[in-house]
Order: sequence, then C-alpha cells, then structure tokens
Amino acid sequence: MNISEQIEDARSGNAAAQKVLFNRLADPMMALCCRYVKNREDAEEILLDAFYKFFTHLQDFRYQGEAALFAWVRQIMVNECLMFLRRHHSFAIVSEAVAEEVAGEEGDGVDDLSAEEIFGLIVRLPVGYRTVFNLHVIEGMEHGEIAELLGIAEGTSKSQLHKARLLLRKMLHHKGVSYVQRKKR
Amino acid sequence: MSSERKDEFLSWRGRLDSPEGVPGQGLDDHEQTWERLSDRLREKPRRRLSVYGIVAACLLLAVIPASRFFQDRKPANRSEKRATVAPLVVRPDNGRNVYTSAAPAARPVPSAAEPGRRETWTLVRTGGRSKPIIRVDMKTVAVTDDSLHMPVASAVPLVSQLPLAGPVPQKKWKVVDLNELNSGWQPPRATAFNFLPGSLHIGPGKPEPIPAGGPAPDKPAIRIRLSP
Repeated sequence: MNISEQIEDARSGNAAAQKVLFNRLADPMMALCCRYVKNREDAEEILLDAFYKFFTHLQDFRYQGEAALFAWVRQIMVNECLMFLRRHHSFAIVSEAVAEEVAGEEGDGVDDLSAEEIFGLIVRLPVGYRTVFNLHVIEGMEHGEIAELLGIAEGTSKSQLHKARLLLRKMLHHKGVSYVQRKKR
Repeated sequence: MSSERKDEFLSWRGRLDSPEGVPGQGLDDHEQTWERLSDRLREKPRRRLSVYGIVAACLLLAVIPASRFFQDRKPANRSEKRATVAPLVVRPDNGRNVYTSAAPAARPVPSAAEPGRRETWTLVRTGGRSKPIIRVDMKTVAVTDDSLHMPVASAVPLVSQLPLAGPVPQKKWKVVDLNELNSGWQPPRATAFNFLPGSLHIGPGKPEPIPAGGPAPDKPAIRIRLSP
C-alpha cells in the first residue's frame, strides 16, 4: 500500500492506516520538536497535539507527493512548537552575555558535522537564538515572517540569528572543529 | 555581520531534514504514544465552554432584564414623542365626509367602493428634515369629491379618544403643508382648502365651538394646502 492510499484510508478514519502514517512520520517529527523544545516530555506532548491536528484536518490535505505531506506535517509541528514556546517564553528578552565574537573566523568544518552533532549544537543554544536559528536556517523562513510569528521586531530576529551564529562558531571552536582563517581578497 | 557567509549553516538543513530524522532523537515508545493518540482521536470532541461563551451568557443575563425594563417604559416615551409632533387624526363623519379634528389636513379614504374596510393611512408632515409618520387606523367610508370642498360642519376632539394622541402641549394654530399621502387618492396639485374658523382645530386641547352664524370676522380662516 503506497502512501496516498494510506492517507485516503486514514482520512476515512481507518485506525490501522493512521498508525502506519504515525509510525512513518513520528521519529523525524519528534526530532524536530526536540530541536525547538529541549524537554522530551514537552516535545512528546507537542507531537501528540500536532498529530491530533494532522489526523483531524487530513480531509483538508490534498496529496501531491510525499514531500508535500512531509512539508505539511512539519508546518503543523513547527506551529505547535511555536505555540508552546510562546506560552512559556518571551522572545523579546535576549541574553546578551552568551554571544561573543569569534573574530575573523569562518567555519569550514560545519559541513562535516553529522546530524547528531548538529542537533546537539542547536539544542544547546538559548531558546531565543535556537528558535530563530531553527526558523531561519532550517525552515528557511525570512526574518519578517519570524518576527511576525514570534511577536518580535525584525531587527531582533536578525540580531538573534547573528548571535546564534556567533555562539555556534564558538561552540564549534571549543569542540575542535577546524576553523580556517580565510584570506580576504 | 557583514563578513558572515549567508549559507554558512545551510548545509545543516538537509541533514536535519531527512525523513529518518536524527538518530537517537526519535520516539522512545511508538506503541504507547500511538495508544495515547488513538485514544484522543476516538474520543468525541469535548464541549468546552469557552471564555467567549461565558461572556455571551453573562451579557444575555444582563440584557434580558434590562430590555424588559425599557420595554415597560416605552409606551410613556412614545406618547411624549407623539405629543411633540402634533398628531394628525383623521376621522370619517356621517359616512360621507372626512375631517381632521386635531390635525391640519383632511384626507378622504380612497377606496370608497369598499366602505367598512379597515385601512391604515400614513400621513407625512413636511417642513423639517425628518418626516414623522403617524399611522391612523380607520374604517373606510364612501367619499365624494364634493365633500372635500364642503365647509366642515363639526370637529370632534378625537385627540383624547385615540391612543395616539395622549396629553399634548398647547400649540398655536398654524398652516401645515401635506405633500405626501401614501394612499391612492391624490388631490389636484396645489389644491387649497379653506375652512371656516372654528371648524378645524390644529394642535392640542379642545376645539373651539363652531359659531352658529358663520365665521367670526375677527378670526382668520385656516388655510390647509394639500400638494403632491
């Protein structure tokens, strides 16, 4: 049974088809939730809420391929995570202390990191940096969208991303990832 | 910031995006989580009394007694209002003529062919921005054109008899134009009716008695103009 048939069955309330879809999507979506919310219990609750919305709104979804399905589920997950973060955090308050310039260095070693290592670095970021970094770098959102979603100024989003990058570089530096001084032309 | 490569961490996107997810970050127990989710999917949506619902209920509770309170007060207000616009009262007389008793215009019932039928007239006063409308319920009577030009024989103080009238403040006699009547019959343009003094009473209070020997020379006649 292919995925479009599973979606059709899940739409009509077939529990077996819903379970197959859940098992297929749960792991990457759990990782996504954990990238926004550190606490695994919270992440699991968010995952459940998001899957509940996914299945109850499945009738509105028009299947146009697996990528579209993933994108839609991701969007639901991200929205749920942001709702959770909005309830529990204020994005307007930014910790300034953690961002220090690693002057003049650019990371070449970032491309060689594994998914686990990347994940470990991202979740170590403070919540504001992490959220903006996730939304901009991983989800590909613009600063205007992020600002609207989080209820912050666009400039705040940019500065948080900048500080997140600085902090990541610093963490990579401490981690021993090669940072090569590039010659400026 | 300007020295940053914009795509410095872009390569991370693809690695974190993979459908397999991040090793070690998946669900601990698929079965248990699925059970919880399927339980939620099976249960009927709960009727949650939202904040909006509570507010709406409170508003209703407050509005209903208030509306009753104002409803009780409405008739009194109405009579006061009507008194200020000098109600027009139209009345048939002897089955032939139509007179005004407390109003400046007489209006015959158009459907003379059907005497006894109840009709509602709407008389519109002009001369101001607003056009107060007073509806008068009455029986239709047979009317001839001659009756319109006849001097009014008697004027009956209907003001006190009809609920529309109520207590009204004293007003001076005046000339009133009626330019719109919503019944079928329309008088010829700029038809003027001259009434003898005392035969027509405009405004509140009792009408003056009709002098037996004709109009009093010191009192001016009232002129009522009906125009389309």
